[in-house]
Amino acid sequence: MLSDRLTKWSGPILIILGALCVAIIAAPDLTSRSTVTQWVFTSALRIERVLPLVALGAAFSMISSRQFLCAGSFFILGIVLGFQIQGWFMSMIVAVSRAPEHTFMTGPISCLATGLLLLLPDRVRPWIAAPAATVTGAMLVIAIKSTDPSWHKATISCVGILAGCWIVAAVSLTAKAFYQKWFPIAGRIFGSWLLAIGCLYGSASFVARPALPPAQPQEEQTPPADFERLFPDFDRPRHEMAPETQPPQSGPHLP
Amino acid sequence: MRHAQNNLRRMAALAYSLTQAALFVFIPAVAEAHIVMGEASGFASGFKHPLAGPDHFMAMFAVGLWGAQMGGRSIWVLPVIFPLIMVVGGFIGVSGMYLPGIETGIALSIVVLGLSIAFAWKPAEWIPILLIVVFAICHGYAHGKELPRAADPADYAIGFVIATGLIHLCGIGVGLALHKPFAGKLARAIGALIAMGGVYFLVV
Repeated sequence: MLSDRLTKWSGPILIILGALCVAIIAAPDLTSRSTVTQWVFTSALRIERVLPLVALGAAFSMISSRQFLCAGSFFILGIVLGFQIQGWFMSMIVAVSRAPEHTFMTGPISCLATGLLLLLPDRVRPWIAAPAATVTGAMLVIAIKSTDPSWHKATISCVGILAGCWIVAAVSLTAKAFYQKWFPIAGRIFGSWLLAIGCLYGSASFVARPALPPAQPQEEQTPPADFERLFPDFDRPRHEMAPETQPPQSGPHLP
Repeated sequence: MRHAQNNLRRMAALAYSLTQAALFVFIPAVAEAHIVMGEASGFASGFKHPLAGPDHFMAMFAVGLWGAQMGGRSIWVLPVIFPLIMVVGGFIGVSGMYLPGIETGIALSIVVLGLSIAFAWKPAEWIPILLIVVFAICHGYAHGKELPRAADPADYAIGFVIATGLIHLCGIGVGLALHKPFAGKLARAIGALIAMGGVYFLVV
């Protein structure tokens, strides 16, 4: 009885605990935040990072418990794989124009993987769940490593992975506990959004920004009147200066 | 008691929809060309773009409403197809290719979708899909033109896709809520208002 209740409410409890943690680290003002805290808000909780993880959690809620455990294991495997392949992946994807500016396209790749997972029919979903979870896990790690401001301090990686796992677990457990018949339909609509985001995000990254118009030459500014009055000879050639204001000629001292 | 509550909820939804439709149709100051020429920035700007443009809002709303009115698989098929095809239009816009008559296409989409709802048209499944494909390219192109100007194109894309999807969901919700009261005549009235809005955009 207690275990059933605990299973049902574990998702919402995770959401509340996570929200509390976020509120606590958000409490200090911007200047007094640590590098890790700032990174959490500017990178780990960015919408492009959170959306695929939410989608993965939603997809996990639509498969059986056994398949859920299997797909969850593959997500962990993807995280481990991410550490192994990050160098290779970055060197491969760096050839794509402007990829480093967009965390090596990890966002679009995760969106496409999870969007496809949600969009496909229910029969196919369990088969796609494992590879999609692996890809999402690996992309999460690569995104964490490519935005790490601390030159590969372990704290950033731990916090990033913890945040990712928390999002997937909280969403999947909550959605599984309060499952409704219309979830697969909502999932498909959400999946189509992710596919569209992945495609547009990817294409937008390739686009060269339109060149800015050439800067207008600034009009020559006249010095303020006070300045002119105080130092009348400041900007004049030496021969035009009044004799009394001319500085003494400097030269070699004769004996 | 429950019946009264349901009626109250339906009336509130109806009032909201009618107010929205009336605002969009009768306040010309709000109406503007869909391809916004201002500087776009990130997520907030992308999210605001479909909501701020009444033409886009009405078309997206009508897609959801029409799907709900037709019922069955159409409820989710149309809102799923729309963003996917919108990507194609987005690609064309992003690549800088020129598509003529986009503004007219957007206005026509509102008229056709509005009239389809007003006449409760339930054609074979492929017809609405075909219409949605054409209209989605027009709307996607308008968004795609904005993308390269955005300070953060990725966030901009995320913002406008989410906003578009939420408007679809809003349309589906209103469509399902108005399906039974007065034999669906309220939904048809909203469709007529949307079509009028489309005519306004077509003429102006």
